[in-house]
Amino acid sequence: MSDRTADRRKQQEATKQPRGTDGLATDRLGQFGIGVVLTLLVLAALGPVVSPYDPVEQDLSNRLESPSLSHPFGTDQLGRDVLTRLLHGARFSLGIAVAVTTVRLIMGTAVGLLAGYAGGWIDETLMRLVDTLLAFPGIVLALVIAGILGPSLVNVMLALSVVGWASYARLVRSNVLSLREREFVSAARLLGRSRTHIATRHLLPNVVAPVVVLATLDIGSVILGTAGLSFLGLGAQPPTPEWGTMLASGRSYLRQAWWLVNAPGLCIMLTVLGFNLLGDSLRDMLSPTQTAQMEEL
Amino acid sequence: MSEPLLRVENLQTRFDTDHGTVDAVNGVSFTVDRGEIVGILGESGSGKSVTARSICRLEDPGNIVGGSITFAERELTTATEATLRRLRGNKLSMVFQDPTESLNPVFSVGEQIAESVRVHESSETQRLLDFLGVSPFRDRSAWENARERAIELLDQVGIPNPEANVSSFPHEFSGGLRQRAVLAIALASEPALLVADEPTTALDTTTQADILSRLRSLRDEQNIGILLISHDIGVIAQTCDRVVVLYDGQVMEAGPVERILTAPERPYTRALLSCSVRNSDADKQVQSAMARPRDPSSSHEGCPFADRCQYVTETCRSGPIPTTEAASDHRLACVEAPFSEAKFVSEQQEIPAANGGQQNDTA
Amino acid sequence: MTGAGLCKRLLTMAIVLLGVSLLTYGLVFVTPGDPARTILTQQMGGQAPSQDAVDQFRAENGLDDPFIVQYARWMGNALQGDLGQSYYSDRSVSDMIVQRLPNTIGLAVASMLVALVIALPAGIASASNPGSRIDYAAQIGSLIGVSMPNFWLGYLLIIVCALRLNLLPVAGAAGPKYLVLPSLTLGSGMAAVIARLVRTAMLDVLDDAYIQAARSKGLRERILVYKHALRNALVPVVTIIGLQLSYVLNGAVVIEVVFQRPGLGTLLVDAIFARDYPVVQGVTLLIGVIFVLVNFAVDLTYSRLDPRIDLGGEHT
Repeated sequence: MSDRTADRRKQQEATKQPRGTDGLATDRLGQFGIGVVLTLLVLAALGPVVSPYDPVEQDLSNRLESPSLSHPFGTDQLGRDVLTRLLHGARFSLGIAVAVTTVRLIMGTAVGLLAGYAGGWIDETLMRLVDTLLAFPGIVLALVIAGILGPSLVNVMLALSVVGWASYARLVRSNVLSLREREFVSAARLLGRSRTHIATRHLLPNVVAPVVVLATLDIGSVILGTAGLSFLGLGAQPPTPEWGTMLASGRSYLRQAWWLVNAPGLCIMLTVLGFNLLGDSLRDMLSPTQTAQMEEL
Repeated sequence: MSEPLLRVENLQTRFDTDHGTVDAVNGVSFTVDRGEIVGILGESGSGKSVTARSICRLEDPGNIVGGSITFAERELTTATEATLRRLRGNKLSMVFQDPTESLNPVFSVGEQIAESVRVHESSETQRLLDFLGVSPFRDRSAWENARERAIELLDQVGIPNPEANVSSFPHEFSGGLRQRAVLAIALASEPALLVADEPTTALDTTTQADILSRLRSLRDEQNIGILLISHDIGVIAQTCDRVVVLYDGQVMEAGPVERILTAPERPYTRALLSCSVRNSDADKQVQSAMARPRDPSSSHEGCPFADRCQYVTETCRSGPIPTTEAASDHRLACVEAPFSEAKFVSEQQEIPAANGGQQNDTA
Repeated sequence: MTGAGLCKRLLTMAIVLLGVSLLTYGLVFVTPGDPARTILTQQMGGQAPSQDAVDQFRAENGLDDPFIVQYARWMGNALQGDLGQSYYSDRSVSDMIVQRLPNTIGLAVASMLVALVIALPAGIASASNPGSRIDYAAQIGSLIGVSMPNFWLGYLLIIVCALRLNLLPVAGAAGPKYLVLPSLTLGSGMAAVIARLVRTAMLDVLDDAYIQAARSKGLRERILVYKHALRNALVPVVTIIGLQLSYVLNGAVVIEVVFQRPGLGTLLVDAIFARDYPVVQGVTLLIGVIFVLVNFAVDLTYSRLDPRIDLGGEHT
């Protein structure tokens, strides 16, 4: 070892200088993220049951009431309690986010395993497709797909799934490529295991951790995407209490009822923030190589 | 006797790591005068690089926690950033080990030398926009002159075809040319003291010899003081006037090169030498010959070399190690000093029980 | 730049465009609904056309041809700048795009400027004083910026700046004043991402040996940071700025709707709801083209920023 490397390592040890967000005591931020996500889950599960109001039924005598004790987030243009609608909306947002992310994850993992394991022209073709998808503005593409299929929540979910699996595929592929050369895979091959056996029993378990981290980080962008498309009018249709839709219908009342856009906006932001922080701290638990692969995305 | 150019006294530089503090330099003292080449010799982790960086006050992330560095009659350990900047631009230059990493890849070699020339001319008034080359703020004639000077310097350090090469980028140079360019940058500020941290380690032997002879002629022609850090006894022997042997952040022995390298009185220097005589690659062999170096973060009671020294006694491990003067300019830190020549000779056979460890530690 | 490298890049660009156009054209093709019938209904002022008229129209316009033939014809025309005719207006798609494009470009450029003006200083300040209050503030700011839906930020700005303080107009695109809020909205979202990246890149570079070496020349910290470090950190930053274009285009759609600006985004959204497919296809293709061109420009910038990069090959 040269003197310089020794010194350099000494230096690096001395300045375990934070990179990215970890400068901010990742533990605490990660805990905050977990806190937000758990709170959200509890609220989504219990809130609608506890709330005395109905999320859809109109009460025209109570239109556009300011926040008060009986309506903490006020009422909307049709007299519905905003808080109750937000709590129901949490179910939509979380449900959609988890569903879309799962579909993305499964599609991406399948493509990535295939590309990484098969190699050759299959790999080449699939990766071209992945590059194209990664390169193109996702929301615009999802907008076009969902628009052509017709406005509905299901179509939005479909569109978001179709445009968003590429990063999983690339992550899984690069993991597979590095794992393929490792001893335990060679050993399995020597033992005469079939390709399918090796792919599912040996490769898959090892790519699970980074993929789960990516999924956590991805949930935030799915929520933003869903809300964005709903905001444009393509997703959930009124009176469904979806956050993006609620925000969109609040825009006619900016002057009289500021809470109509701000309450759902805040909910979206906190949820996305929670998942991002959670994902960040999960990523910090990965091994350095896995982290490097994630950063390539 | 007048004050030397550089006087380092009881220097202590410490690193705070997650695993506790490391005293990388622990009470080092020596001097360098004008027209003198002083070598610092030591193994990996002996603290020689940190010593060099501390002198230039580039010790960060380490901290100087004790001692003093007097350079050109100024105290550097407490100097302000502005003073340091002025000194670095005028009197004090440093050459780093790896020329590939010490040149900025995105600027031409000429620009990097010219920058140093401009800093030297006007270290007080470095204007950002002028240095960024934003056109109305750029002092054209000054940069033009600096470029001329850069060409001269390239010629002086032996880069062929300097007129064309002044516009080359570092990646277009070979390792040897890069180190010459780094030397040119250092010389641009017409330094009184040049600190060279392993300047030839990354180079081949021919280039190494050429660079070292250039250092010697710089000393002869411009009366520069040079502090040369190396792990290579050969480099030290052919270049330096005096040598300071460092181990575990402490001075083991210091004195004139011919004396230390021919008749060392310190067991550590002795061991270092015997490895180098038998093997060409001193750094590697010293490590394998003397097993694992001491863990620098452990406590430092007594002699740091005690665990590896074959002459170790009880006193070595207990108290502070006295520094004795074997001659007026020959210091050594050893309990047993002065060592009789006879004792060494009688036991010389046993010293290098080395060859078993060769496979280890070649990283 | 080597010829081979250029060819490879152009080929990749072509493949991306082919993929995008095939997808949009194909999707419309498989969607239920007969364009002939739609167009004729429109031409006859809402009356249902006769089957004969529909058949005749289909034959005349090659609508009975196989998908590939129709697609090739459309692409061929598109390459000559002809994107077809809107179903519902008598204007050509290219015309509509050309009319709307300046507004979107204006928004994109202004947002990018806003983003850089916020992100570069914030990222640099963060990286030069890691662990300081400025650093924490910048990091928390960018965490929030990344998580905030841009349409909500748009409404927040409208409520505060336009409705409460009456400083700026809410909606439209009648002058530079109308650009302020939209570009602030879109730009600050981007700034969050870019600032984070600038910070990481600068931290990496400031750690490099040549910074220490430059410091030993006696250069001022400011010159070290803004000349030596920033120039090196810009390489990854420019990449991200290139990638941010997809953020701009994604965002432009939403932001134009929020501020009711006539632009490509509103054109696309309106066309989608009106099922005006030629417009949808044209705008999507154009967005693809813009995207590919900007990425190409980013590649070109690289070789200027970092002399070691040759477009044809890898880092030396």
